[in-house]
Amino acid sequence: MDDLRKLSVEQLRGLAREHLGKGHSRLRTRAQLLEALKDVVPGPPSRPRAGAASVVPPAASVRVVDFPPGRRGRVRGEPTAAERKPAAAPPAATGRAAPASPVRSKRGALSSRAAAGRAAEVERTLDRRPRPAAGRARTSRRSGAAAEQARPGPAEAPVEEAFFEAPAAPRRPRRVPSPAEPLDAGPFASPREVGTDAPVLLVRDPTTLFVFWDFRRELERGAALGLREPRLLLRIHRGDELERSLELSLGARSTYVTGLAAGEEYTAEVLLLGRDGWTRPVGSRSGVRRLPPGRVSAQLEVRTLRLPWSVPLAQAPSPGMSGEAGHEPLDSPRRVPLPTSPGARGPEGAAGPSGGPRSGRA
Amino acid sequence: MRRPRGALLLVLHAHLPYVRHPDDEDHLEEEWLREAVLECYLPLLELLERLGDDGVPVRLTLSLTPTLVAMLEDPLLRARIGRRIERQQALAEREVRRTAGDAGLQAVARFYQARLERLGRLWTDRYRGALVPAFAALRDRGLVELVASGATHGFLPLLRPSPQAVRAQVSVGAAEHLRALGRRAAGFWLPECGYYPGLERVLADEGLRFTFLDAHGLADAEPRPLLSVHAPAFTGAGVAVYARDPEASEQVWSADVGYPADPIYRDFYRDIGWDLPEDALVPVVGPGRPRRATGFKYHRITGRGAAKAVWEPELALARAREHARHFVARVQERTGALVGRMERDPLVVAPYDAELFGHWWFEGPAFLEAVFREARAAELAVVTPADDLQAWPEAQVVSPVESSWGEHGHASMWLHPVNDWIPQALFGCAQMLAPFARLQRTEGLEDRGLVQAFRELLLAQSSDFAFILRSGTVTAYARARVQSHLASFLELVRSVRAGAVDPLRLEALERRDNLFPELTLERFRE
Repeated sequence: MDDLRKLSVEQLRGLAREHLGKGHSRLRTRAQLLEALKDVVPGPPSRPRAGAASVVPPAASVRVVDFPPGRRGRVRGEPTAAERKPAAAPPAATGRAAPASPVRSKRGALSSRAAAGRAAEVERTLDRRPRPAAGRARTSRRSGAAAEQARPGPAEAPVEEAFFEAPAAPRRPRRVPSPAEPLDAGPFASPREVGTDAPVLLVRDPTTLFVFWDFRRELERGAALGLREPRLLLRIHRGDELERSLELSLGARSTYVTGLAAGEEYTAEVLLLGRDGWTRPVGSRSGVRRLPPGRVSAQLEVRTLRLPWSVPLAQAPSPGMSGEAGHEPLDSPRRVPLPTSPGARGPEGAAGPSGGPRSGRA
Repeated sequence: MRRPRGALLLVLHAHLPYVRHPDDEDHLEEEWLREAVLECYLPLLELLERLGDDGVPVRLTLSLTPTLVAMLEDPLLRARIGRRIERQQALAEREVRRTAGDAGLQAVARFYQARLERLGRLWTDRYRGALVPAFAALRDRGLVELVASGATHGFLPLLRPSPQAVRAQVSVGAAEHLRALGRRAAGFWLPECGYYPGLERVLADEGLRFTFLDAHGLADAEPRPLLSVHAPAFTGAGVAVYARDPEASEQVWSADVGYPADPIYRDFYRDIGWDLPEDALVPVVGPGRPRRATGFKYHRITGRGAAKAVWEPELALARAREHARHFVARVQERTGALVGRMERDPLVVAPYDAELFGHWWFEGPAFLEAVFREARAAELAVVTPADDLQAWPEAQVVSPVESSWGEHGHASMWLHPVNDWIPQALFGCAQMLAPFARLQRTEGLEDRGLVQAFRELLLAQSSDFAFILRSGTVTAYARARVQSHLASFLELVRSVRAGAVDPLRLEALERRDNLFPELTLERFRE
């Protein structure tokens, strides 16, 4: 994106003509051109493409692809010391994606054995995640997460850099559509008559999202148009920032994204990634999903509402308009310790209950 | 305004998934209903009436889910329950004869015989097989506050991508409550306590004024709740949320420190259905049928080993009363310490599955009865949310957080590689149905076809099947149920689209899944 910004409008139009083909003339302003080109024009070349063949380790089912500013599109294995962020999460995403060379049935579904293995793998990974033991104070949950982050991730096959080098002169995408690979239908396929326009996010726990998609066929076909050997990228955004990119098998329809930050807002988008580095979004970005905070709020404002039982809810005053907000210090004599607060003390002076079993039925 | 006092808010959530199998009277999963009637619902009605007759101030909050209500109303299932009671009574007679040589076992057999005779009389003479009106009568006597719940117990945080599906679960649940129980419910039990921010608006639209969350749903709310889980808070929509008290939950739910783990209580797993020769079980389970639990259990928990001592009902029931005394004393102790610090009644909110009491924990109904009696003796108020909100209409306004009472407090029980295909399929089906709901009503067969498709979709949304798949119990049944409802849904919608609804097939599906008689597609509108 930074490189695109250095170009003139004329140069951007030239790129749009090259990359977007029909319809590029409707992009009139610089902002429109930048927005349209940001996902289709790869970043600058960094290394020869010689490493391409070794990029996909045969055993890797999901790999993390990082797009640090200015190095967009480079597949990342273990980060170098220079790129390692202070609190970088390990590549914690797990996918329902297939291994690189799964046994596929006619429709691309995994063989039952491979699928079982996949489910077990996902389960193992999910089970490895730090889980708040029932009744632990929130601090221990956080420290558990920190320990998990500090723990070295599973050994990955080394990934060479510089896969997505851009050709000096971008090639015009071929007009012949590349047929999309048949998709994994799962134990019960979603009805074929409908499809999503965007990925759907579900909250599994304070650090895990489940993302699924089942795009309308024309969206998939349109995105795959001209891409050679397309693969699937899932981008997770935290607010406006790109948090993570996951490469999944083309037949993937869902994945768990673990190790996210509790209390933060996330969106997801799915892209197709061609062998030569071109990417194209499939559908639009998901709606925003906020993860639960997993800890007590630091906000101590107290605002009350008086709602007599005789007043129907429809006539309830807006809480923003009624009641007087005030701030209560934590040691306010009125404040009652939360059962899950760190170091909470019960009303009788002994250590407070530790949270209890959060499992009415489990 | 009166002076604050400590109070207990006891909530029972009565729910079973829809397990009606009209073509098979001995269906293993349909048996869940008959077991629950005999072991939970009849004893609960009996104890509540007895408490009321004795003048004990009872204020129990009870949710009855629409699927349970539908099965309790169903004439076919009621007839089967009656026959099951007769079979159990006959089994009790045989057991009294079989155990003649062992005084300890025979005392238990005679206990069961007397109990079954009493429950049989309640079923046939007192309630005439109609338990739903019996619960409504308890409400009318002021003993119980009945609250509504999701139409088929759908786990709402996972239905969230389809707002119509969430609205339908709430709206159909509230409407069924009104139809079957004759009054609007003021409160709503969120299936699995599953909450997500914004859900309160859907509840408010249905005029529902309170609901229940797990502790962290409120404790982690923003801003931080001043009074912790010991008082309700209002959401922005004006719906009050009550939070489950962790200690009260642990006292009953914990397998290690909970009351039901006491070695003197009846062992749930040891049953003559597993102990007797197969021939002896034919009159109970039917010829050629697999073994199953019969409800005749002669042993107490004793310990973790296989050797079990004989259960002694009187000792066990006395222990339940002791535990109730301890429970009430703890509530009083904890709320008593808060009374001076709060400008309202400090509450201990104790919600449990109703089926725990009597089925899993046989002595549970005796415990419940004793809790009410002990609370009266200790002058501990037992209140319902309506009582509490009428007495204390002012509360802090907070935004609760996404939560459930399932494992780890979130959705991991219902969103796991073994069951995550379900929310995806449900989302796709909801997308299919939505355009029909937006259109004008269709006529005749097509309308019936769409309504039945809606019914099938609601049934597929039940949280129970995903739960079973994750917990690994009767997984084949759970998977088949979800797939069957989804397949029926697709078949019906496709036939409506093609203008080729098969009336015979539609009738068959309407006979099989016949709940929610007043269902209309309007309930699926956004």
